[in-house]
Amino acid sequence: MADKPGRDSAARVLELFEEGRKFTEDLLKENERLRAAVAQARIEIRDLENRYIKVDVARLQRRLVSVEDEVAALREENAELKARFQSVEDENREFADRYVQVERQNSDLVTLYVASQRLHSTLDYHEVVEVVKEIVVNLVGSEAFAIYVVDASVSNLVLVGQEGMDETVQASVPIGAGILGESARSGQPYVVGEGASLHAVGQEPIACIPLKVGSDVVGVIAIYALLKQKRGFHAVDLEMFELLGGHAGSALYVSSLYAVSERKRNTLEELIKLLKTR
Amino acid sequence: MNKRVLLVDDSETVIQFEKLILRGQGFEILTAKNGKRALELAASQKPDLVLLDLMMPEMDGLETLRLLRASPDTQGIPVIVVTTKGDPELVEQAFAAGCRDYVTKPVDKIELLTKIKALLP
Repeated sequence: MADKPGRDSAARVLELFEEGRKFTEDLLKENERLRAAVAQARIEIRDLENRYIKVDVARLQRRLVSVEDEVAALREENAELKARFQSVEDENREFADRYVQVERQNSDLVTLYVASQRLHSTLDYHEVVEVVKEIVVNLVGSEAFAIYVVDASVSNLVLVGQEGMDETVQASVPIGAGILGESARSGQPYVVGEGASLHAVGQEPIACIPLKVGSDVVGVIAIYALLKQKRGFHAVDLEMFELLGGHAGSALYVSSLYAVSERKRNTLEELIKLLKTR
Repeated sequence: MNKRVLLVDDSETVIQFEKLILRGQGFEILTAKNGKRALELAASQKPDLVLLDLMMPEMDGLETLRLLRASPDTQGIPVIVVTTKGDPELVEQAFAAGCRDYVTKPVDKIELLTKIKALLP
């Protein structure tokens, strides 16, 4: 009887061993299965990673190429637009310059037209002298000047008007004497060279404009100083000198003849009246 | 309606010059040869702008300008001084008397029109 409990215990131990062996085998199998699953998962992951990266790089490369093309096209377009903008700007500037030029020419023509129209607007000698003065001050921009007419009987230039000159202005100048007299003798205009003082009245004029009727000199305008804001003589001034040379000369000459003829007419009328009353 | 400009200068040459320039731009022109007449015209015709010479007999430009500014009828009319005198002191006096701008003779057409258009947009 004493052996039965011992046998039972041994059987129980064996049973436990058997269960442990089975459990161990199951664990090993499960372990094996899990290892295989992990290995498979790793393979799949690697495969997926490879596929994903390859696809992405290729796509990105294609996109990159496309973006680079777009950038190149945009740069080209940008350069083209810049060139067109520059060309339009140049054209614009050219138009603006031409507009200013045309406006200046227009202004010069207005100046010359007004001067010409004013010179022939009267037959009164003193008014003509005043008009010449207005032109020389307002349209030429002279601060100091003198107007002389030729007195052929004494070969002198005689002062008939002046502006801005002090008492040193010469009342008469022999033809041929100095710049003024020489301009009257030769009939050639004179304009002082660059660098000369243009704003202080000196001994000699800075410009002389011989006034002519045909080729005969009937007077001279002598400019001694320009207005402070006027920096020098411009093209329109030289054209104005030419206009004054012809038109002021003839206006002064005609008005002086008119004054003489008026005096003669008045004398004759008085004489006729006198004769009628007798 | 065209803008009206009153030209004030004792020189007919200057009046003719300014008239030709401004008529070409569509302005209506009024003219006066002295300050007194300028004040009368400014009060009765209410021009949009006055171009005023400074050196005039009887009433000079500065006095005319002060009287234009003093009258309620004319104080709002902008005035551009147009003169042969470019001395800084005179320019200062003209601005102090109430001018809106200043142009020296010989008049540069583009400069004058630019200044007029700035005041008469």
